[in-house]
Amino acid sequence: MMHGAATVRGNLPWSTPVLGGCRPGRERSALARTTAPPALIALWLVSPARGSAVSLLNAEDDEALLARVAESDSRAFEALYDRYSGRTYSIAMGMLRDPVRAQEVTQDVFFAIWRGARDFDPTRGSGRTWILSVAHHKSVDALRRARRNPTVPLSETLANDTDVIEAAQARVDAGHVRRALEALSLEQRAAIVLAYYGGYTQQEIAQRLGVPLGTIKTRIRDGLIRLRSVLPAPSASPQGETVR
Amino acid sequence: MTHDEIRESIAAYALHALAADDARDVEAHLAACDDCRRELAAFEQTAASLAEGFRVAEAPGALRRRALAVARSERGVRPGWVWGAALAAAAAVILILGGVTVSLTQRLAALNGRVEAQTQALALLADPASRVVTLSGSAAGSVRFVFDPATGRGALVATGLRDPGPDLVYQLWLVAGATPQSAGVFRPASVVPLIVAVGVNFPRYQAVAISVEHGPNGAVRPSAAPILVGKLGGG
Repeated sequence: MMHGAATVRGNLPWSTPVLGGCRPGRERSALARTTAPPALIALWLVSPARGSAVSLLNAEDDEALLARVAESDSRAFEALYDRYSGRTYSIAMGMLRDPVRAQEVTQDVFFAIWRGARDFDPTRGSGRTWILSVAHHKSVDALRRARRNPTVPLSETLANDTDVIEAAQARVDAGHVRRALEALSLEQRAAIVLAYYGGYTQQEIAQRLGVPLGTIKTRIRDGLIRLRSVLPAPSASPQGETVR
Repeated sequence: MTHDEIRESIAAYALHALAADDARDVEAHLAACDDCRRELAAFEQTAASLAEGFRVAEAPGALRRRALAVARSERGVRPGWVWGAALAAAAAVILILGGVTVSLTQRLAALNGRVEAQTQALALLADPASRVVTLSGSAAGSVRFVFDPATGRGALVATGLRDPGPDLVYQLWLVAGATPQSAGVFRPASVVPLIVAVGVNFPRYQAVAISVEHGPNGAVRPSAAPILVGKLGGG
């Protein structure tokens, strides 16, 4: 893909001093790596700049990693990215159906985690719950922006209520979540699916379904309480979020 | 709103199903009400289980670098507001890298990313509201920046830029006053036009500029005079 030779120096008078500094240093370090005695190699393996540090981080739970991120620990941030980028991207992709926007949202989410980890309070819930909540929130915001922007072609400019509910329900892929939703009444399921997977506000849902706002609030609330009893508790293992 | 009225909306809040002003009311109440916070924690846990419902999609490999860039550039630095703006700009950048393809997966991800950036650039070019700025300076090549101030989307479209040399990259800067903010690094592709997509609040910036910096990550501040500059106009 890249064939360009370094013939450009003459055209970049300001940049030529830059050329000198970089390469020799790199070659030296590569040389040192191949000729270092075993003791030095062992030292290099346990130094925090290398892979073993990352694998230690991988054994830490989400809350510990978030606490490190709050202290601007970029390696903990990388470990969290590796643990949650797949799930975050899946949420964004499921909501937005657009790889460009889903990538933007994923970036936004990790930006928010980096900047907001200080606000995470482990006494109010797990790190996993917090991260997935940020991911869903950013996805919903992006979806609402896309709906407001008429230049964006949305696959679901649907007039019919049944179509809207079905479009939202089609975003539910995992069997265990589908089965849990089937334990709800039709009304509860429609309200929750439109809210969580459809990204609609409770007012929008009330308008669409032609029922009072208070009724929608009750359906969402009762539905979530029922879901809590039928959904399996989330796994608490540190690597629990590995997406296959 | 009263405690009871708020309480009725906590479940919807956990699903992000409140309009912005309602959400603010709930948040104000939550700050002062332990009962409602406990209630929210339980609902949020159920909402997190719903997050498992989406079809599993693999995040493109090239995304990792971009998403982690914020931590690399900020390590050990207490962010002030200027930093915040620069990082927001950096985080909003979609950057297509040529020449670092190691595995087939990465190559595919890079190709996908490039197609997406080209799609965005095409949409911008087709939009009558978009504006086009031609960058000029000492480097050979045709480099234009097309952007739509209304949507905050922009794309740098470059053809004929030469390879900057080993270990060097081109870095795109957005200039607000005397403060250039990085909008990403890139290396030219040999055949197809290179496109760097950018999403920022354009009225803040007066110009776009390109300098040559150390690869692979570029610099926090330009270390050399720009080789290409284009005025965005406006203020």
